[in-house]
Amino acid sequence: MPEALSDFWYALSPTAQDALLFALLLAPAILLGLVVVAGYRPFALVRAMLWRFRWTSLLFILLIAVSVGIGVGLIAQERGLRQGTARAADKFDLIVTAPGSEVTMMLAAVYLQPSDVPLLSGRVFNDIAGSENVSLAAPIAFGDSFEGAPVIGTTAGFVTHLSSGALAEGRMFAEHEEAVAGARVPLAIGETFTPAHGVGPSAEEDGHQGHVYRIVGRMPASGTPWDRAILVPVESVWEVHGLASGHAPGSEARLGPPFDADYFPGTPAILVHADQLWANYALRSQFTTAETMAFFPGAVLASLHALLGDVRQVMSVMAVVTQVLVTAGVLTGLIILMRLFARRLALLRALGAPRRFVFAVVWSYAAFLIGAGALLGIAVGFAASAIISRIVTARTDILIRASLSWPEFQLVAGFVSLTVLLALVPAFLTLARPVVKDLRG
Amino acid sequence: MLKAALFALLAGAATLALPAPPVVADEHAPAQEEPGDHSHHEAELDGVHAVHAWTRATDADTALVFVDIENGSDRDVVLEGGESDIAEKVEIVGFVLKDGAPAWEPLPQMPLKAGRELKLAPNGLALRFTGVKEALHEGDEFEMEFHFDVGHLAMHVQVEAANAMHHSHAGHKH
Repeated sequence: MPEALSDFWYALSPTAQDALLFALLLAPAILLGLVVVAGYRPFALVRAMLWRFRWTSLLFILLIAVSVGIGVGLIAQERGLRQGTARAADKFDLIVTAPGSEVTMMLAAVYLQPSDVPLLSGRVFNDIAGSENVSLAAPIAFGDSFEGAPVIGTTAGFVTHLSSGALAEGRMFAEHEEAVAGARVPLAIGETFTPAHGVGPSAEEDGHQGHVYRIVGRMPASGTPWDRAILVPVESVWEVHGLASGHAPGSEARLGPPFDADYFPGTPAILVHADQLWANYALRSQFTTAETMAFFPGAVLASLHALLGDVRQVMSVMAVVTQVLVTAGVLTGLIILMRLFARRLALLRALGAPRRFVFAVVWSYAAFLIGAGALLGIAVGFAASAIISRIVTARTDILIRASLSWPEFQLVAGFVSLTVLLALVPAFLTLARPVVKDLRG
Repeated sequence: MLKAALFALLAGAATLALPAPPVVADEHAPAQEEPGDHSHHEAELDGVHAVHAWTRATDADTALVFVDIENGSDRDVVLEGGESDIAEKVEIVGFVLKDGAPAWEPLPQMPLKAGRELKLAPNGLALRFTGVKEALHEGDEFEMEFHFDVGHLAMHVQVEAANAMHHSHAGHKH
């Protein structure tokens, strides 16, 4: 790219780049409109035509709106999913697990979709917790549940980290039998529950009979699967499974680190947090070993998002093709509709209206249908995205927000420019009609 | 997609009007590589071994350079940045996901313990070139220096495809 143009483009802020691109995409439609109607005022006649054939016009507008809405909704939904899943991983800087699939481990530790994974030993945990620059190392021990809500064994430090420093209600667990609930767990403070062994339909409801937790606190809403989780001291998770408590005999009542490696039954994942980004990268390098795998959920997500982006691009092309096909159909319909107008337009010509005026009337009529359809399509796309977001949020507990942004407007601008150009065809065809024959009907 | 398409159109139109920029490889490429000669894909400094430095083809103002570094020495070293004739500034950056969009944050340094490896790779660590003076085309090479606290390590950077995720010789032992 020529240096001057390149320098100009990269000197712009991202918003300015998007706005400029939108303007460039819409410019052909505006310029074409100015050229076509230059010197004439066809709008009164266009308004009359729209009213005369209001139901047909409305049908055409709705057809365009639905096809534009598919494209807009697709782009908005993909972005909503991307942002929602990224927000859900915000608190998980670095995860250390046994070597395996990063995606599987991320789904288990961040999105609480548990799977059977090897455990990390107490020696590994203490190595990580004692490393330079580590400000928080917390076990994430999943596998139990209560009425579908995952019960996660961890430390008070992790609960504080997840709650951004303050619980919404109640207090932190201080005893083995106490628990802190996520924002959407249907248990009130003071209520008790017995966890089931496992998660999902195959969970053994009576697997941990005799072990009762009491809810003492509630985390603020985060828009993540952790809103449905119940967090308990990791020591109690080990105890209900008949394992050591993580602390040496005589110190079993203790909660939280340091743990005694000899009495540490294991944890499937460890959250590691460092205050500095460079330290997180240094820790990842340090804990990428033969027995541990360290990964950034954000980086794994970015790879998945790239895949999602590729799918979106393919689907966007299909959506654009659909839009153009629908518009081609609408324009074909317009050509037929113009036969209905033929007598009136011929009369105009016979009364001395210039050919270009008639041309401007026909094109303006088509351009209005396209413009109105495109605007309505943005609303249709946003509404579709909002409905799908609600369904996805309800099913995954990941808060997906529908929003409109530049890419949707750019898509619509490109669509409008292309189709108003195509709208020249029915306008030219109208001019080609024989005036006298049309006057005779 | 639309953005890329339109920008490509713009670039194409502008290219017709202005002379094409010189190719980086013309200035910086070494002599023709002999078959089997991969020596300029690696470099070493006091036991610190770097291999497969690469970047992606781009005509943008910035580029990310990736490399595998192994600290084979018996002391900890610190990667502090780098320099190259083709860019105004070279800095270490770390990948973060901000609101679902990829972003790179500058890092002051990257320590590397003795006996450990550090991989600068997509969606991770990288050296960010800003103020890139020429378009980078696939197959080009240019020279750069990695700055460590123990000294400067010079090596060739291979320009891979615009969507590459690794060096074309990744997996080879040199």
